[in-house]
Amino acid sequence: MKGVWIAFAVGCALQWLAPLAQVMRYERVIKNGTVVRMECDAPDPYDLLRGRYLAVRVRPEEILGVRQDLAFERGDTAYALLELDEAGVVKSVRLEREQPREAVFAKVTVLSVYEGPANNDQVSVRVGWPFDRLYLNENLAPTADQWYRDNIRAEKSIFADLRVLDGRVVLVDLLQDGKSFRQLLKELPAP
Amino acid sequence: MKHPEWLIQQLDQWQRDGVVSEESAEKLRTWAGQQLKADAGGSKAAQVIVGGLGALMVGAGLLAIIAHNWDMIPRGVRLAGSFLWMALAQLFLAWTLKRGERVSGWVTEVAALLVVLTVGGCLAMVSQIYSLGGSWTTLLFVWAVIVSPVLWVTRSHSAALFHLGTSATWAVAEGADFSGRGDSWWFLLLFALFLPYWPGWKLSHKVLPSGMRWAVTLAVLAGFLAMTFDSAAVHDSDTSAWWGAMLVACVLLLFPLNEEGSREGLMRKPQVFVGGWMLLGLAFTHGFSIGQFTRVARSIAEAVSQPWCLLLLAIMVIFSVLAVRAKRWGVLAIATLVLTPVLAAVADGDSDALSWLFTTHLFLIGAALIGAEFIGRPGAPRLGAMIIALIILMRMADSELPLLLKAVMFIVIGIGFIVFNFWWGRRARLLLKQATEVKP
Repeated sequence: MKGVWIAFAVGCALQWLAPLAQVMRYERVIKNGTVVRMECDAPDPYDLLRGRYLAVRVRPEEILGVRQDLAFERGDTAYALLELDEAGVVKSVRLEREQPREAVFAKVTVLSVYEGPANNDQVSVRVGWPFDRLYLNENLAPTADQWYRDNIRAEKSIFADLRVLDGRVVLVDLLQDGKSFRQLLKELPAP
Repeated sequence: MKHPEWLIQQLDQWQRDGVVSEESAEKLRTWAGQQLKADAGGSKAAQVIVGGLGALMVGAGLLAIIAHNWDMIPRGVRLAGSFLWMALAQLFLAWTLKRGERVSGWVTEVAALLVVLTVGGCLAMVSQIYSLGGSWTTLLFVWAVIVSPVLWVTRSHSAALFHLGTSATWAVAEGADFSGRGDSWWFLLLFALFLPYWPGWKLSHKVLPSGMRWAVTLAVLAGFLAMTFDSAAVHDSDTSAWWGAMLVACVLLLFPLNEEGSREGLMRKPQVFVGGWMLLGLAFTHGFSIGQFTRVARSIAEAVSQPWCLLLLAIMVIFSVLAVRAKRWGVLAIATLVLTPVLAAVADGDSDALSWLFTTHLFLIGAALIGAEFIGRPGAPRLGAMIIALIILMRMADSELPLLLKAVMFIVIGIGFIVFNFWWGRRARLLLKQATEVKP
């Protein structure tokens, strides 16, 4: 019976530690991370367990001009160095194989590599960002979907509002013209 | 109606007919009464199923509450809520463990399933609040690992089914990815976490209920096949998975059984059923594959350079030795099909070799299964006849004989099989009559 209680205690500890470790890790990013904004698309699919979300796709999806000698392959881990303007908006992205000591960077996964016909020393790389969705209240989702469709070709771009720290990224909000999309949705009539 | 109730009802009639004595009838009545008292709440299986379904519905409800996404509530409160549900479920489980034998099996089952689902809810909540991206399979993997102690301490069937289901789903999703990362090796860790449930610490729970045997067989099949395809992708081999799949089927088929296990019916030995039919199926399809010998030769050469296929091969050799010692000649005969492609690979240059080798091999297996019965060994004459019939149909289909000749041969062979079936049924009835005849 003693063994049963030890196994039970180990189980409970694991069941608490796994989610708590995630909470602490991402709370630290939200609190201490650099504010970064990236232009994105955000249509509205559905997740069985976690409900409605906006699928956030950063633009451009491919990082151009990556040195071919870095020899990236599908599934590799890479570090995307983000060059920001004063407002925190990403101006350009550079891909590296080694983790940088300074600078704002995100840990990404290489999805595919395309060899450019023009320059043999460079390739373009499509990467998987560590954020790809923003979960929504189910009542808010249809309005959000309508908002997205109305704004997909609007002059004012949609930005992903991020916090970045040590390669980890938390998606906090979506912004248009500096306003949170939740605030914008409240101003819209229900569909 | 439950079996003991039926027995009590029948006993009066049997006594009147003189089938059982008064003393025997009284003993049977007492025994049946005790059985009914022990199962006062109804069938144990039904209780477990209904209780498990109830827990499943409660858990699904909790997940749906989380999926609604109460984003107007501060994230700290939402997180605290999901942790609170998990803590309550853990306390409930601790209470059932403390009560031990005094609590019904179905209550423990419900408590275990509630812990499993509330832990999943907690992980989903964290993932939702921080809008974490990434693959759903990672969440599934972490979930399966951290709830596995629930399986060890409760021996809950629903927790076991959850573990097998998530492990197999995770492995298939990783294997189907064809990314060449080779992550599906982690299936072995997931399966290792199942070992305290079966065969248990110190091999104390070797015998599983029939349904659970099927679940284990299908999960292992899915996991091992996923690893085989993943291994092929890692080694840039587009063909080796074919022979690897034969090795997986062979390992399942030859899984060691004790004497009692060997005597059980085929449906209570799903590993034999699934492994055997999979091997036969692969052999039949390659009976057609004329001209495939180069592909097969390459497949074997590539497979033996992969650690996973070598491990399968080693397990297969050990299991074969144990099967020889246990005199399981029937399964060994079918398992030899895994060697046929090796012979075809040796016959380099002859494009029909593979097809003819499989045809001959299958024919010999069919004949052996029929013949064994006639020399007093356990055989499977109808299965043997079916294998031979399928071979004939297959070979006739791809032969270039005139249609009229094919028609005559089909009719003659068909009549032969009908006569065989009739004669075999008569023989079985005769043997049964002889065995049950009361000697004066």
